[in-house]
Amino acid sequence: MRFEGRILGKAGVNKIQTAHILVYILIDMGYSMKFSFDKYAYSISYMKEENDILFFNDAEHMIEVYSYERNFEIPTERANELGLETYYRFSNIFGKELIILELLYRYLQENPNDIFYVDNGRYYNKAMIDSIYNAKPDKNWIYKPLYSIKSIAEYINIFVSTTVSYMGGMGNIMDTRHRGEMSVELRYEGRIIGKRKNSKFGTAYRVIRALKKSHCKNIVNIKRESYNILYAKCNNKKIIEIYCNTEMTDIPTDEIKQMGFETYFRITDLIGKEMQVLEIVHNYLNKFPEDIFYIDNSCFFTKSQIDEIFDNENKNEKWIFKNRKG
Amino acid sequence: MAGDVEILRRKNDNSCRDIKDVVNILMSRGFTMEYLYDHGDYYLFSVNKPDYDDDGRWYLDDASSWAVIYVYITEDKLPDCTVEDASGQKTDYYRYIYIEGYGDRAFMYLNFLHEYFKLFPKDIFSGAADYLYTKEDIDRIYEKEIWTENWYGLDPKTL
Repeated sequence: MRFEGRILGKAGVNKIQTAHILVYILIDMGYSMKFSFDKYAYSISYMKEENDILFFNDAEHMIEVYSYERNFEIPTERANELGLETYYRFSNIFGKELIILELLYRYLQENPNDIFYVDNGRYYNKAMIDSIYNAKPDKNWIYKPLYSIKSIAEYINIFVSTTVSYMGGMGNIMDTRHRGEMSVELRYEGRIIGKRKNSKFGTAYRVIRALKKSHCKNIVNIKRESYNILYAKCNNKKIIEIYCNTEMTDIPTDEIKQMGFETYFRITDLIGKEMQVLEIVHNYLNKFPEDIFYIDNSCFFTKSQIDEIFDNENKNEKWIFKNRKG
Repeated sequence: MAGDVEILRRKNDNSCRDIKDVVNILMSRGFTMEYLYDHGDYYLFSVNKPDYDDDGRWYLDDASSWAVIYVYITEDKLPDCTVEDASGQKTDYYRYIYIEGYGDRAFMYLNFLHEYFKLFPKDIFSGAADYLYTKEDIDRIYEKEIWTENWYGLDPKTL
């Protein structure tokens, strides 16, 4: 079950200076192998401890941290009220809970006003992290209700196994506890962006419709606090994961901010799925032609550009690099 | 620039996906601090060993502890070179990985290429004097008891 964690700090501050602080804490903690993927608006650091496993094959020991530099994301209404925006995002905290706890403990010593937010709806401040840290180490600290001593680890186990059987074998994307079986991808994310809206509730149906038109089956819709996550299996190939923002405000670049646009949907993984995504985006933009597809390699695609690529007989997976503005 | 070396690929083989394998090799050879900047059609890729001195004391630099690399993930319109094999068949090769030359890196390159060609045997290496080396050439040079210090500036037929 994939959860994202975010470190939220004061909104409106230049984040470029602070973008690398977390990475240095991880290096101090022994995560001495670092691969940074810099996409200008943000960078992704893949970090791991030294061992005998090949770097990108070691999902079990790898931490992915997004350092937000030039983009703008307010994950929830509550974050907005607190005047906070996202500084760092951990794209998968499952299995890394104790490492993250250590990291947060150290980070919050220097940045005591920041908050850790998990997309299951939990907010943690420094005092809470300190008390969890000083208590007995518990890898379920993120999933436990803070006021109860009953562990919900059992519940999660049952939930995951029943979800696996319901989804007819799609469980392996949901259960990230496979040891050494999953490799890490070089990550490109695609976003459908459109005019800023007061409310994005209910917009998931737009993507569900596009998925169905693209012959995607077994669509699962999971509700988190400020977005829905859709999983779909398309043409019996790889599983597509799409975050549908309901409450979250995500404005990936200054240019998009100038346009008055924001992210409606985030497709988390394009590599290996380029042709499926092309079909889904093509179907989506047929219905919603004012929206734009933006990839975090700085490429923007309008409906007519997507149509041209889609209609091209010789289309291939390199289409995602087609449109970079100089 | 003199001393720059390249890995070339056949038509349509340029890919961003193989970066993972290049990173795997470099990481396991001790280049544990790596940085990839995405310029859209190419990557600027900088790799360092942890003992790399970035205080600017260039005279302490061990050339084998760092490298600046460009990776071309979309293809150039024109090939970098054309190779004719024994049967007369011509194959065009395109720039894929470009390593800026600096100092003596003969053994660093040889170790890297030996691993690289296990995964990508169809690519070729273009050395500092524009000689081309195939996987077979690299394996042969690697297997020798004594390594030639400036092998990548010499004709592979002599090695």
